[in-house]
Amino acid sequence: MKPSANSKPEFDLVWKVAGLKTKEEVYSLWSDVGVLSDPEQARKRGEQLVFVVRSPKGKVIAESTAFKVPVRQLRNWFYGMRLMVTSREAPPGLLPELARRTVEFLESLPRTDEHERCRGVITLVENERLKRSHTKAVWPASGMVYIGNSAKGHHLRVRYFKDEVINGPSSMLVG
Amino acid sequence: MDHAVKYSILALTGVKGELEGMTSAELVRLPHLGQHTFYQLYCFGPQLTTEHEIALLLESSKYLEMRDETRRSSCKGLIYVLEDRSKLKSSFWRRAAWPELNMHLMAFTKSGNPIYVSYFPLARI
Repeated sequence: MKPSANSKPEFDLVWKVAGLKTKEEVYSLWSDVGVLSDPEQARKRGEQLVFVVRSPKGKVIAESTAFKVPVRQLRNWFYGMRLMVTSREAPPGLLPELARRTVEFLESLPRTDEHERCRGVITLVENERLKRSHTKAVWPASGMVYIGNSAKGHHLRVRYFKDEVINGPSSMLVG
Repeated sequence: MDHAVKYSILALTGVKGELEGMTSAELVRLPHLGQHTFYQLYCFGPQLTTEHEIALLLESSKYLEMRDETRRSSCKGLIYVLEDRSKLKSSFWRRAAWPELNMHLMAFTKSGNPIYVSYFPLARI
């Protein structure tokens, strides 16, 4: 049965502190939905967990992960953000809320590494259903802006951190 | 880019009526923005102050948005290329997003000039 809009999921912030039990629950979720069946890849992704979202009954129904990545198109470093929500058990609006919270958390992290300073958050929308349903050029909750398609036709979206500046021409990553 | 239409939008004149700056726009289609159509804005005026340049761009953006609503064309928003690379020495122009114009860095030209995009409120991709 699909949960009602009143079901309030619980957001656990687990960045760098996710315990083994939590990670195993997430691995199990990934396995159930058919992503990351390779244990080594799953372990690596587990180190990148930001939020784990649980249903009122305590079951993991969504998660977000982040990692630092240089983006050629934008010639700067970003946090790459991945979001996963189980469609069956997630209440309406969970995905935008998870995106918003993850972006806000990443923005709150200190940016002390000048060489690989993250200018914002970037995400690749690979899910075909999402690409058809979340078509606003700017996602209202998280402010993620559409900036084009990848070579495989996936949607690229970015949200810059407030007052962040780009590298000058001489120090830009060359595209 | 596919160049189609180009026209002047606004002129900014000084107190004595002299031309200080102007904007123009043309319709362009950007391959890596899903082939959607945008207005590409241009701004001229070597003596323009930053404040006046932003004001010109803002007023031009408002006009183009209104024009688009009236004509119900399929334009998604605006593109602006920062042509004067000496401006990249300024932290003001190097901001990744320009909230006063609702613009966001989208890519760079081959020669390294930043390209900014601003979407109309109801734009969908």
